Amino acid sequence: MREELDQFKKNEVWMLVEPSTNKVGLGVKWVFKHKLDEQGKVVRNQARLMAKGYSQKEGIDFTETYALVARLEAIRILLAFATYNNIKLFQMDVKSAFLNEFIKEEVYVEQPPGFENVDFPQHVYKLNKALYGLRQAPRAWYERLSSFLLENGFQRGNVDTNLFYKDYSNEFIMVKIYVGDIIFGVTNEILCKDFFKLMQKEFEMSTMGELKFFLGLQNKQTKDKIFIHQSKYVRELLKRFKLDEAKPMSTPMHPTTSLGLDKESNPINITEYRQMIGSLLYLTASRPDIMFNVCLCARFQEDPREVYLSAIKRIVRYLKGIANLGLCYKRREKFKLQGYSDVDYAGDKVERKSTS
Amino acid sequence: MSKKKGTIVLSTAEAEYISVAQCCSQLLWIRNQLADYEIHENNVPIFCDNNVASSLSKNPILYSRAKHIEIKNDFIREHVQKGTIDLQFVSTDEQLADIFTKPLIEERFNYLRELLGMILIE
Repeated sequence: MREELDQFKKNEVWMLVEPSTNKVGLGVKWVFKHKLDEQGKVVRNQARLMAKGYSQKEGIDFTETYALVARLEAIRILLAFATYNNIKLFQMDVKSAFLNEFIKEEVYVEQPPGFENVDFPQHVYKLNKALYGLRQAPRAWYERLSSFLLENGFQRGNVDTNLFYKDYSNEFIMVKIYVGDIIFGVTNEILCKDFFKLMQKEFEMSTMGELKFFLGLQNKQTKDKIFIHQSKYVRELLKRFKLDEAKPMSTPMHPTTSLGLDKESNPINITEYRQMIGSLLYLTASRPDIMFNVCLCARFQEDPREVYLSAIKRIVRYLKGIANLGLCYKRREKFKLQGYSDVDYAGDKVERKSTS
Repeated sequence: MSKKKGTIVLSTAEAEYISVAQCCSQLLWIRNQLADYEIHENNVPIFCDNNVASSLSKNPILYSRAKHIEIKNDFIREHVQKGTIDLQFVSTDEQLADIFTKPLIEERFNYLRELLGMILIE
């Protein structure tokens, strides 16, 4: 917590002012998080002061919101492109990304719990820069970062605004932004160091290294291949659903199963069911093999019953049997895009609609 | 992506046709994204295991058997004519997307899983 408040002081995030009727402070709270690496070891403990952004009102506290995230599919395209061009991928992390940003609107927050100013306990802080949890924070950060990159000769992608690239005669560098995390690919290691130095001058960067663990996706790069897998996530998932002792299965669903509306079966806890679906859907990023089964079960979220739960459990047991499976991008001669399309005819027992 | 369709169809050809149209929009998104990487793909093949659907998309004639299909699905025709998308036939055995439409027996499941590029990681 000290570290976080020191950061505040260093970046001149806020100043103490007297409260008045039009300067009502937003609530703030501490959020604690352990940052884990791919083996699940604690890398650092983090305390973050969050503004309760949900109580902000449009037009008063903020004018425009914006979130800057790359789609997982877009990241997979980057991976495919990187393997094709034999680019090595690196990642880095901006320390307290949002605290770097100036905000246009006037926002006041209360003093952080546990760290009140003894002399002026009723005072509120006027924010100069964005705070985590604030509605306009991500947008402010994106604007700062993109203008910085553009000033330094980078070009922004016309379609994907999270993608930046810069050409040198034979070499090039491409940068993909996911809020405070940055993936970048370079054709040459010297460029990589230059880019890191450039970023370090402007922002406070915490780590830099080969792309290994990004958004919960584990990456492994070899000479002409890139793997992505989520085996750590699978193991956590098994533990969370208390199925780590269950018998593994060889397929995610029995070939003759057809799930239909079943009003006879006992209803189950809807929140729990949705949590399971949610975590399995996230897993489909590197596990397309369970896509059909998860999507099928997801259609029954409205009224979950025991039959569907057992179908989900079967998927999880299949995952247990083959947790280390992942997607592999191999280097090929030519970059090819292909689509496959297939449907079943009226496979859906409920409304006789088809699946594709 | 495995998705349930929004309409009820009268024939498998119609189902395939609609699904190809949706697949086409997905591919166009990827194609757009690739333009940022200086890769400009044309004649992107869509593999489909139904011949009728592919002839429907190549032939801009209105058939009486297919006149009820919603117009929005006909945008694939435009892309085939423009040359951005190319519809090709693939036998059901080699149909990769099979794994996203129905539960399969173990042997076939494993075979398609490997074709998707999924391998075990030590």
